[in-house]
Amino acid sequence: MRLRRIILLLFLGLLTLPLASLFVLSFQNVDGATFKWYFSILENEKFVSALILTTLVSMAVGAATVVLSFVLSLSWYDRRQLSVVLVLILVVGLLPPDIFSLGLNKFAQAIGFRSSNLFFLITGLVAYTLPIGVLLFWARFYFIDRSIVIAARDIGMKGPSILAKVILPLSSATITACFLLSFLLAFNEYPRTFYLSGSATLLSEFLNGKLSSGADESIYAAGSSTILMSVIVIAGYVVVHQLYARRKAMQELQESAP
Amino acid sequence: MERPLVNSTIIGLIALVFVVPLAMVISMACMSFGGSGPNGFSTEGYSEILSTLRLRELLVITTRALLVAATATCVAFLVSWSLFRVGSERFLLFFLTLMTLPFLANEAVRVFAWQHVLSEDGVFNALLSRVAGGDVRLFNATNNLNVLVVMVLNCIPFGVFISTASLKTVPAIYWKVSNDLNLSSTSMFLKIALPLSKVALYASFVVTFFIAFSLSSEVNFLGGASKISLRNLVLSLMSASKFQSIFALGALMTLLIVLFILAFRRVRSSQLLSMS
Repeated sequence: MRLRRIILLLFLGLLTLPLASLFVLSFQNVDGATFKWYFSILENEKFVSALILTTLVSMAVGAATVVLSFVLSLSWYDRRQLSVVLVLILVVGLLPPDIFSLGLNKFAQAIGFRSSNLFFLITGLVAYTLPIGVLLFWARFYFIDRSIVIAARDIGMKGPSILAKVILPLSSATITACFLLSFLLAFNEYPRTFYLSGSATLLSEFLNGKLSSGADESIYAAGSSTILMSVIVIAGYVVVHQLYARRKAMQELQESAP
Repeated sequence: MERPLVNSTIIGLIALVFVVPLAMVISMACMSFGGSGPNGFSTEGYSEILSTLRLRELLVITTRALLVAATATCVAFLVSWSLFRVGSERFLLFFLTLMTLPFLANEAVRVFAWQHVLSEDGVFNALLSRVAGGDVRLFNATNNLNVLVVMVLNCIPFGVFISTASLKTVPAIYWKVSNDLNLSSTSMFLKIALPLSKVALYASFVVTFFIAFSLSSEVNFLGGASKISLRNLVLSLMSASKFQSIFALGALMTLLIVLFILAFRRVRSSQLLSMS
């Protein structure tokens, strides 16, 4: 068992080694280990404005994904709806982003826009995060005993009150996970941003341009700052998950007390 | 119980928003484009995408994606099995959380980071040189090995999620009986885990295939002699104003996805039948 763990940890090390090495490089310069590149990149106005815009767009994508994927995932409780939603998320999720984004871009032009804009960008990014959001909710619903919903119907509760009083409270951790995951996916997405951002420059485009040209070493800091953002969000999720698990355990303890 | 919790019209309206770009792709694949936009029916898009030059490019992309998907699926299943055998929920959470990090990092940043590790003077070649006792330059920008390795490593997390979820949902009675029968770990893997994960393996292969098919930054950053990738193909068609060919490719891929979904249903029902 210990050998298995060691092998798994080595594998994990292999997956994360390049990102860790980039992080280390971001502190290295002729003066030794300093924050020089970080200060340098923060003085770059294009980087800062791209960072702010990307954060706002990603938050909008996160919020839209939570709402839409929650509604679509309720198809779990109806066989026919489930088949439709499954086909939808598979087709939208698996079609290459370059082709889907161009289709959306052409649609924008067909309805009178000269080119894509932030609305179509958010739609394109939601199409990317939606399948993952729906799968997250379905994974949660799998563990919610169907008899709870049957019992709620038996005591006369209607659809909306079952949603508000049964399904939503049981899915609160998934809602948080869905928002954070969608936020991060949208924050770091490149192909859809490239085709749909129109005249705006988002962080992934900025980074891709800089990394392709290898312009200056401050790009290590810019790249590392996105990794840092992902680490913070993931760590935040783990903390929320642990707090939620602890609260649930406390509630169960209180309910079982005489 | 089977009464829906949400109105089908609402689901239909949400679906419509995301079906519109798909419908655009499929319909525009059969149009010819003039100066101001589409003008009339044409099969030009399909004939361009089926021309010898484009077919050769598509063959490279597809072969690479098949290779990556097969390798990633196998490795991911072995990783999931090891995770499952370790058994600790805390370790599982730790592992899966950290494994998502590269997948959640920016595509360009992630590949750029790999470029450093896999460069001619990078960590991998240095390790190989130390082990082999010579100057080994296996990983370099002139062969496709860098591209393949990074694509496989990028696809593995998807396979691990699918396979781990599948192993976690195998009824506990199977493991209890196999323990009672004193089956070895290898026998459990071959006689229980593998047959009961047929659907997961299929899903993992399909998902990783389509992801690998779309991955392009690896080719652009890590080299390989040909620089053939889906994005480069799309951009070259765009620069030649052959949008209908891009959409023809999209229509063919949509058809392929639908065929995979139908095949998935068959695999699933055959597994359910064998389980019953």
